[in-house]
Amino acid sequence: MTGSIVFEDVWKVYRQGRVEYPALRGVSVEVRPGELIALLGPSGSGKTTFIYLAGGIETPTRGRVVVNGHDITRMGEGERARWRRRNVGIVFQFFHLIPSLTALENVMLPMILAGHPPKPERRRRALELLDLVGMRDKADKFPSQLSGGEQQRVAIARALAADPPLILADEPTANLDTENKRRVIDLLVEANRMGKTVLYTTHDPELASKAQRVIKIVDGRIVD
Amino acid sequence: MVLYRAMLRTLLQRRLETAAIVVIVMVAVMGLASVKLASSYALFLSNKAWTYEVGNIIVDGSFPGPVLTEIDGLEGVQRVKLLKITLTTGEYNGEPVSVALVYNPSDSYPFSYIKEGDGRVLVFTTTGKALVNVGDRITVPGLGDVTVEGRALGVARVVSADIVLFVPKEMEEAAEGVKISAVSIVSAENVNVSKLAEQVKDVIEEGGGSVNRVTVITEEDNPARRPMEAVAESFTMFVSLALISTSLIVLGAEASLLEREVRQVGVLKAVGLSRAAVIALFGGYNLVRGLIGAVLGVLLAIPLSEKLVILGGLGPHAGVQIRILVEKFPFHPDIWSVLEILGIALLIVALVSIIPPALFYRVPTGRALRFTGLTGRTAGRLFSGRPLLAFTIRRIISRPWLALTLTVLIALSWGAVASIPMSLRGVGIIEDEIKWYNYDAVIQTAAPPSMASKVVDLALNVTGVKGAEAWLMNDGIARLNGDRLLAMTCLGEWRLTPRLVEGRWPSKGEVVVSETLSKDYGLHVGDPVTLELGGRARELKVVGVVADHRNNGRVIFLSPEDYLGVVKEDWITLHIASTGDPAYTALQVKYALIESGIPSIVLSTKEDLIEGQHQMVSFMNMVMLIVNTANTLAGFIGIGVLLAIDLAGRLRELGVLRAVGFTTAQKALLISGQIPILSLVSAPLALLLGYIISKSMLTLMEPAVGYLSPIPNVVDVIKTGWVVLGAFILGLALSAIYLRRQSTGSLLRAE
Repeated sequence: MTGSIVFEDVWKVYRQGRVEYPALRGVSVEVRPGELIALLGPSGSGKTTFIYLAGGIETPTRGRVVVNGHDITRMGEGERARWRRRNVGIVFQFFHLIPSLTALENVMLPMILAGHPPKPERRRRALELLDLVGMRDKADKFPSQLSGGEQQRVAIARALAADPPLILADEPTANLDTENKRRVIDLLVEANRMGKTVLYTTHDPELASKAQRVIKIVDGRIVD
Repeated sequence: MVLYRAMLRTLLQRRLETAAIVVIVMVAVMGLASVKLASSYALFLSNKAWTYEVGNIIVDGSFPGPVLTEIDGLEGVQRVKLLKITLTTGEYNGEPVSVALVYNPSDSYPFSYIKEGDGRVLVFTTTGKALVNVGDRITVPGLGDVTVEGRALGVARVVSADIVLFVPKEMEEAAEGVKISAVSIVSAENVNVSKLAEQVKDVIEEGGGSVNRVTVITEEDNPARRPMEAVAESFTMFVSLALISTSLIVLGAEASLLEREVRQVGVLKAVGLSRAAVIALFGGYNLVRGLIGAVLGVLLAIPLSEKLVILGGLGPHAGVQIRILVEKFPFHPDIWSVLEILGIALLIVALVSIIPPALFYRVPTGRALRFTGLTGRTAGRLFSGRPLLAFTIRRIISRPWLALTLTVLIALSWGAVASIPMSLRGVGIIEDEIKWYNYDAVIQTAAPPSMASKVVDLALNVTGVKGAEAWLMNDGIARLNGDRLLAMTCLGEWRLTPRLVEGRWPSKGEVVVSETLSKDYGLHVGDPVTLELGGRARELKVVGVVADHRNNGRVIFLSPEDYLGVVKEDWITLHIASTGDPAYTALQVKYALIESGIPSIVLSTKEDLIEGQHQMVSFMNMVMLIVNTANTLAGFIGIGVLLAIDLAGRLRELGVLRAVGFTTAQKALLISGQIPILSLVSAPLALLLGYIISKSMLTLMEPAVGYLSPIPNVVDVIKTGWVVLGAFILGLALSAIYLRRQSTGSLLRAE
């Protein structure tokens, strides 16, 4: 069941004071291991919430989320953090690299937390991943010394670092130029070829078309 | 106006931070204000107890009735009081006791007391714990059995005796014993007391009376003054440290705020705001918070000061009934002191509010606008390839303001605590420093100097006494180049006296000086020295140097002949050395003296003297403990506030960390991990600060507690590192509690 995602009647409602904002309204969906899925929807449709729920970053208000065979809705925050280390790699819209760490160190960080691969191999693997995303020559650069596209490629390498079966990418191309958009999507496709289940969100139908399956989401509901 | 409203909203949004800073400023200002107000009030009361209650001119002698009226009529005399005392020996519960019968016609002045119960015979106590109970009988020569009818709780000690009774005039006159008459005068304000004392002496002698001794008591002579000032100065030193800590907290809070809101500064610059406007907008935050804290601190300090004085008594001024003094001289805060403290606090707050925005205004607008919300710069390549360590170290370097203020706060907290083992190191040291007490007990007698050999012989005949020496009760006053010195003498053999460092004890026309005087005035054995004794210059020869032991080393020893030329009449104070239990032996000597008709009382045994020193050290230790605890708490609050601000500024970063698998405990460790790392920088600063504080403390304390060795115990100093551990645990707990309440999603969505 590695790389699988199951949403069963999942609701997520955010509250601000007395006002409630439903982000997901009874979503039920299944992602099978090894799939390359694009979650397509306009801004505010609930895409990021979907990714956060699948990654255990947030918990549903109602319903069940089972990822890689684990019901993550039953886990505590700390348990989910530990579970994420070996099960999920996340790519954020705004890259979110740690600014005080170099590209190489950012990629090494998940390996240290996961305790995998063994210590002597981490640096080599991090360099291999940076090589994969075309960033090996900038391994010692800090995020502030990299362009947006370069930062996102490092973020993809970081997501792959601990060799998780599932890669979640939240609007990975939203802040990139056309060339970098293509490169990032190509890398996600490459990750999928490596056997990873990849789920990325986008509002761009053309980018969504690169996926094996497209799930459309509008106002927190799956429409197709 | 819109911008100011926005700032006000921000201020209200940061309620916790605002509350913390208001409280910290309030506590620091309250500490400084209350110490200043309380210490000046305590000293005022102590001086009152010293000069007003006892009188600032005391004349011993005989006084025909009309003389008192004449004295009362002298310009500059506020009050005149005749006090008649009979010192005698009596019997109480089958044991011989010394009894003082005091005729004190006034209920309130001098030797103020509170009457408890009715009656003409009152037992007087300065401690509130009367040895004698109401209804007890005391046998007094000339009076037979006297029944105690009430109690008098006094401000100051009247006279040394086992039992002091306030009695009517006829009883004092009928009692058999040594008669003392004294006139106590309180002068008006701004009067030349010495000149007035001369006038009083002339009036008495011209009126047919006689004068044995005129004692002028000034506030400078108050023996409690220096120790009290030392306590006040040490308190001030520590609360000043707390104020510095507070300033750093305010500075660090604002700088940290600006570090994460640098984009806002950029936006304001982009829309054309001047440096002054930016300073006003951002500095206004702290100025408002500081102003509220300072005003509240001063307001709270006013009632606290009086309570502190009442609770703490007068500290080193033992034997004074604080409650009576406070009732007689109510607390009125000095408005100028209050304004001065408020002014200092506001100046500091204004300065620390202005500095950060002034500096952050210099960040280029473009760079400020590109700020992403994730702070951190390419802070070197320290610990390359070791992300966890690199993360913490580089994170510290990337936020220099926060790091600097945290470092100094740790150093201040640690330094204050480290100063304790470097200065006052418990009571053990006193044992060594008190070596000069080479006698076991001191017995005060009502025998004149002429009875010296009789008194010594009586003592030497008591079993267990191996040595006895007749000293005099009062110290004479001498002057050397205007420097006020205590003059002392011994009437018998100089066997139990302070340690001679060089030379021998003096005969007529000779003097022994202390080590300090020898050093300060370059006086050596064989040198002539001109001293002012009894108002006239005398040339004496230095024949010895004695170890410092009293009055900060300002002591000389004269021969009895020269001493009695200065002090006309005095009482013998007997020093004894015993072979067995000093307390028991001293009591036997007292009984022997009383049975020979010499009123006597055991003033203290050596254990009492040492205990007195111990109490002083314990008191100072307690003072240091209180102020250090307050200071460390202030430091810890500051560290907590800054870590909280740091946390608030790195929420998104923490969200990312959790997204890649960090647990709450690991993240708390990353935040709190800054403290031990910064402590490495703080350590030398803390130890240096501790050394400076301890040196200052030693200088302040020496007159109060004796001579303390400045050699610190290294192990004890190292142990003070618990401060760092405490700060680390505090940081860990605070971070964990805060982070536990935040979901990963909310952290990632944080601005």
